[in-house]
This record gives sequence, C-alpha cells and structure tokens, in this order.
Amino acid sequence: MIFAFLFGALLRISLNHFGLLRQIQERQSQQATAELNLLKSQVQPHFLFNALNNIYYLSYTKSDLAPQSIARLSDIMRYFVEEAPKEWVPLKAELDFIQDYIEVERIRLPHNLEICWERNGQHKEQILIPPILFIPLVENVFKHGVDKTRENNEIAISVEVESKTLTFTVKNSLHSLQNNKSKGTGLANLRKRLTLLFNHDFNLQTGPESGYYVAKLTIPL
Amino acid sequence: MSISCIIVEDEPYAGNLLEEYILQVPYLRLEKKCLTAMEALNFLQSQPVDLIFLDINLPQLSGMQLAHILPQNQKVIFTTAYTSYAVESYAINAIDYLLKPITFERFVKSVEKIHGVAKQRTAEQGNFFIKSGKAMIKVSDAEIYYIEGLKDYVVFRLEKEKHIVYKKMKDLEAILEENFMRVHHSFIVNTNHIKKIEDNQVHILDQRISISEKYRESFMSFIRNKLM
Repeated sequence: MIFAFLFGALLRISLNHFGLLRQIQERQSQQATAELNLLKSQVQPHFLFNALNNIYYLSYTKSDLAPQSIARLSDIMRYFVEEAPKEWVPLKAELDFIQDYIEVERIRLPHNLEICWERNGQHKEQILIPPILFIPLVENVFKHGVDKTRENNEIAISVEVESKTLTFTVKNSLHSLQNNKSKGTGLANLRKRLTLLFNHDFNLQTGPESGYYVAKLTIPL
Repeated sequence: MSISCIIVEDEPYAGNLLEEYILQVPYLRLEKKCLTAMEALNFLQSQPVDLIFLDINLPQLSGMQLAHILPQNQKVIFTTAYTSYAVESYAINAIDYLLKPITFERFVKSVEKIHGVAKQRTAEQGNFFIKSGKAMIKVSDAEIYYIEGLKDYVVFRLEKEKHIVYKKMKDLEAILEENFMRVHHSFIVNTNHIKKIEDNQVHILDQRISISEKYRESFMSFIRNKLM
C-alpha cells in the first residue's frame, strides 16, 4: 500500500519534471527562433527611401526606367514581406532577390558598375536555403566596396553548389579607402545567425585578396 | 535678389532632381553640382555661395562633417533619407532639412525661408521719396507703419506724421517688399510693426485695422509661417 502510494507520488513528480523540462525546451527553442528572426537583416529604411527618391526623379522626368525600377523595388519588398519570414526558400528566389537589389542600387551610382554573375544551372537552384543569408555581404559591397568617385568599379558574384556545401562569394575591386577590418553590425549579426543555424559548421571569410576585397561564405546543405 | 547655390549629392538622379527644382525657381542660381564633400570644399574656397544643398550620407567625408568645417554663417539645407540627423542638423545653422523623396512643394517651402530673410534685408535698406506738397521727403520702408487707401490717393502713416501721396493701392502693393501685406481693401500694413492680432484685427500704432475676408487667408498664412 505504502509502496503503491510512494510509486504514485514518484510517478507524479517525474511526470511534472518531464513536463517542466519540455516547457523549458519549448521556451528555449522559441527564444532561438525569436533571436534568429531578429538577426535576419531587414529592409534598410535608408535603402528604401533613397531608392524611392531616385524613382521619384525618374517618374518626374517621365523616364522609361521608372516602371521597371518600381517593379524591381516591389519585388524586393515582396521578398522581404513574403519570403523572408519563412525558414527555407529556394536558392533561386534568394539570388533573384539579390539581382533586383543590385539593379536598384545601380541606379544610385554616378558611374557604370561592372557586374559579373556566376550562377549554377537552374536544377541546382531549386535547393533550399535559409532566406536573407547572403544579402548582408552584398550590402557591404555597396556600403564600403564601391568608390563612387571612380569610374571603373567591379563586382563579381559566384555561387557554387556542391554535393554537401554551398559557397557564395562576393568580390569587389579594392580601393584605397576600403577598410580591411570588418566592424559592421551587419556582418556581426550574420555571424551570430549563422552560428544559431549551423552551429560551427560554416565558414565566413572576409578580407583583401590580390587586388580584390573578398567575402566568402560556405554553408552546409 | 538672386541666391547662388551648389548641390552636394553623390547620387546622380537625386542631384538631377534638385537641379530641376532649382531651375524652376527664378531667384536661385546653380553654380555647381558636386559628387563629394571634398569637391564642394575645393569649389567653395575659390567661390563662396549663399546656399548649399547638402546630402548627409556622402562617401569619405559626410555632409554633416562638411557642415562642421564650413563657416558658422554658411546657409545649408540638408537632404537625406535619415530622420535621425534632424537634431544635429539644426544645431549647426541648417536652414532646413529635406527628407527624400523630396517633392517640389516641400523644396519651395524650404528655399522660401532663405528668400524671405534675404528680401527682408534689402527692404531694411530700402528707402524712397514721397512727394508731399512741394517737398520730396525721404522715407524708409521701416518707418512706415501702415498705408491707408482713400479714393484717389493713399496715406502713409509714420510714427508721428502722415503723408498723402497720389497713388493707387494696387500699384503700391506691387512695389513694396514682402513684409507689407494687404489686410483690407483700404489698408496695407507693415508686418514688422504689428503689435498683435486679435479678434480679426491688426493692432498697429494706435490703430485697429480689420482683416477683411478677401485678404484673410493670405495674411494669416504669412503670420502662421512666423508662428513659434
């Protein structure tokens, strides 16, 4: 009788214990998700309003570039609103988004910008990746890597999909004023987010490399 | 009275937009478009201007940093996509702060502030002669408190005297500076001398002048612009 009672109490205690444990785990994972969402880069108001100011000029002068610029900006906004909150998106969607972003940034520049894209075949771009992962690297190019006073700026972007890894590389022609050290919060947040997503199973390197500033990110698939 | 200006803006379309606007304002004279703050600094050393349209987010040397280098009395209108700089910009003699995208309406409102100040300065220096009887009396704008229109002539009311001149109110309105405003069919007031406005009346010297329906809106909007 006593045993039965003790057994019952023990059972209750352990049930409570496991319930509590589950609650803690749930809370932890909720916290991680919240943290992840916070670290996802948001559309920068600065980018948005500058883009709108440029488009404003294009429409003011009734330029043929106005409609396509509005369409591009809409695609960017749609990506942020509809795709960014998801856990996974097709690689193609992310790359298209980056291309739109670059085109909108390009109209803000005084001189031509040479862009070289190396994308894999369509079939490889159907693989799923976490959204908004590469954009901080591209943003940095426009923030620090483009010398607006120079006429010959170059950017090269390549995406290599292998069996177990994906490598995203952004290069820009190095100019005298570009800082070698990366202090930006964009990059620091990206690193935190990558750690939460892949633990230490990723590789992010930034720095000068034979006349170029190179940012290279490898993630597991 | 024209106002010379330059644009400092690294984004070509944003610079072009300002240029388009400047061309539409007769009293603005664009001297140069600069892509960087350094370029502007070099230009200003050889040719100072009345006004600078200055983007804040510029490469290398920012607009805010440039403003700190320039003389204290340099007039600057900042243009930017950030709102967070507003407080700092007012600390360094900025006339205004234009947020992108910049509309023409907002642009005009901003440059009018400077134009208003410049006009007032010339008005302060302005004086003219009034034919009164056989004499020609020198009167400066600032001395006139208000002008009352009678049938074929007008009365200039100074602090202690009156002068009658054969002229029409309508012709006067066109000649006088901006600080003179019509408030009534029979009255033009020098807004610099207004003591107060109450119950739809302008108090000036010992007079109370009614603001008539026809002139109320333009007059009150002028006053509202000066409201602290």
